[in-house]
Amino acid sequence: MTETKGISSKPPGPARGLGLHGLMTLLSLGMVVPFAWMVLTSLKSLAEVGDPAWLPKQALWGNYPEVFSVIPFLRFMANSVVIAGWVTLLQVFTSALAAFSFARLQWPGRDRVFFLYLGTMMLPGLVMLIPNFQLMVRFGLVDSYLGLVRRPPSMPLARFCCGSSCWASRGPSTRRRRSTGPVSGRSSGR
Amino acid sequence: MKPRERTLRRWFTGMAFLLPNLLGFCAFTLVPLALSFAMAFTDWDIMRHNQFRHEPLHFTGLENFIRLLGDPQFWRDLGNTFYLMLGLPFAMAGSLGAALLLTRVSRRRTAVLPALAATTLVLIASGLGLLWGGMAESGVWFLFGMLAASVLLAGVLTGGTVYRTLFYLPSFTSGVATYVLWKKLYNPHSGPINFGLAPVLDRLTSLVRTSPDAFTYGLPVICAGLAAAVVGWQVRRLRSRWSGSESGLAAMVTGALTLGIPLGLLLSWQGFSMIVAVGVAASGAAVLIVTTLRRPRPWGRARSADAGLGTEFALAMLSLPLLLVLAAGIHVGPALPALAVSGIEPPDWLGSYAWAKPALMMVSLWAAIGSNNMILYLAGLGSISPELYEAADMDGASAGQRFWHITWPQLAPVTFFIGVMGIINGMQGGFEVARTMTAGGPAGATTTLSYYIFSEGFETGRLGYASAIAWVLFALVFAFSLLNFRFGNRDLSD
Repeated sequence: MTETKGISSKPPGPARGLGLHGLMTLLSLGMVVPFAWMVLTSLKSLAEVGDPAWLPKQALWGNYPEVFSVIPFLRFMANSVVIAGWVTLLQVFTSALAAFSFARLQWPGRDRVFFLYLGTMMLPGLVMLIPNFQLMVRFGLVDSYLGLVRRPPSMPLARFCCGSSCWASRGPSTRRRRSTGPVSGRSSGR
Repeated sequence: MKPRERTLRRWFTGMAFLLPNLLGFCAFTLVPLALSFAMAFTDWDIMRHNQFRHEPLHFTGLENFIRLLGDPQFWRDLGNTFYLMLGLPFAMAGSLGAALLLTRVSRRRTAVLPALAATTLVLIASGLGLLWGGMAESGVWFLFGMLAASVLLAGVLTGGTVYRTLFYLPSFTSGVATYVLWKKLYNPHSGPINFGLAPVLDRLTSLVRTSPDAFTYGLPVICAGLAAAVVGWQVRRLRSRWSGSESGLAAMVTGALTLGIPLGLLLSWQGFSMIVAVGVAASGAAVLIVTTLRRPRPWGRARSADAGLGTEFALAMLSLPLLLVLAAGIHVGPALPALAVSGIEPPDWLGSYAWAKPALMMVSLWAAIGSNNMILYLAGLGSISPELYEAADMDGASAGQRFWHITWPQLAPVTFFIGVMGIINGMQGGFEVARTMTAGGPAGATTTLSYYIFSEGFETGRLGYASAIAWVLFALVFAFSLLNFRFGNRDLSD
């Protein structure tokens, strides 16, 4: 939302501005209300959960400390953080390098490799899940962190996004892509 | 010698950058891919071929694929997948609308701010007090008011940033968590959706009882009129495109998509009145005939620029679900008086065959409006140069003209990208949401192809067959993407 003054010609008057704010508030509430319901339900007792009323008769704030004693919450949290951290680190590192290679460097066979990457994006992740599982079993990676920190199927997507924005900023001297290519530089509407 | 050496150098440089990624790509994508392709031609069964039992693996040739063609479950799940994808145009329109609204929100602070701040603080304080102490049933409206006021205040204070954050809320919550939440919301007995719907439906029941004719005849007539208007509009647009000698094949595809798919669905939909089916069939045929007659060679590609075909495609995709809703209206109208005798019940969302898919679609729509698509649209809107709008203002363009002639064409690359990704994800999707909320749905109503792959591969253990389904799905996605790249981004350079 940096340079948006061009989209609305006249700056809206105070009344119209407030009306817009009201509309946005209503729409935002549509997004928030399910979560509000969740929070309110979290304060209910187990017997009250089946009750369609929104508000608990007595807010049980003790439900929250109880989470930590019922399930090993901190352990789960640590698992998530470790896995997410490694995945992010590896993804950003490798994808940034690859995107640079695809977008800014010229090397023979580059476009073919890029389309190989793109092609695998169209494969359902479940296709790879089946043999990946077999491989994990074979390498003894089942039940280990390493097995989870493997390359997730969404990886090519990250590169595609990164790559396509780099395509868009390529100079005119580089090879022009045909119409079958990804969102191309000429057409980015700049 | 020299250029050859340079080429080699370039190759090494490029490869060096790509290598870390390529290693992972080979290990976890290419090799499993090759494996799964090989598996598709075998009778690999996890019960018989695992690390404990080594029965000989048979190469079965195309047997898996032949079986697939005659598998009624495959065709049903394919239909389910397409059905669930009907929400995509609405999601895209919603994202665009949200982005447009967000860019329009005034960033200036208004004079009513101190007053609002004071009220909200009081509201928040008393709302918290309400939660801490015991509370009355009516307190929930107070709570909503408090919520709305604080959102409004925060929105005014931050110049609209809060709205963007709130729209994005479903996206940074984990998908499974929101699905579980919605499962509770949809609960027919304790969920707030039916709780809120019950009084509305009671009102409707009494309305139907007092004036049954209005619903028996009025509703179908209105729906039919609207449907005719939508179809007529489409036909007119297609015709003008056609006579404007733009790409014939693309218009044909669009026409077939707009009218053929609803037609097929309607015909296969048990219990639909024959008149509706014939009507849609006739209009579909009319479009095809009209368009074919206008050009000597409808399959040929036009030489002139194919401006606006992406627009055409988007509008066609949008009118398709609209037509389906209207057809449902025609269908439901005459049935209402009979239903009203015993009182119209709110639907048993996830437990009913008819409502499970719309319920899942609504969840996806809710999550998709404020998703990455909205962020992409926001970025796209931000990069449109203001000079275009200034020029349009000087020419006295209306708001609608400015949208259709500047904003929409300028956003075409973004729309195209979102559309392609949406179709790819849609065809492969539906697994998480169905797994969490319905476990495939009542009688398989929400089993998509990806869910079928999962249940074949990991529940019944037929890995070979599951791989075959996955590869057929890949072929479908690939075909759709080719169509998209062929016809979709033609007007990127508008």
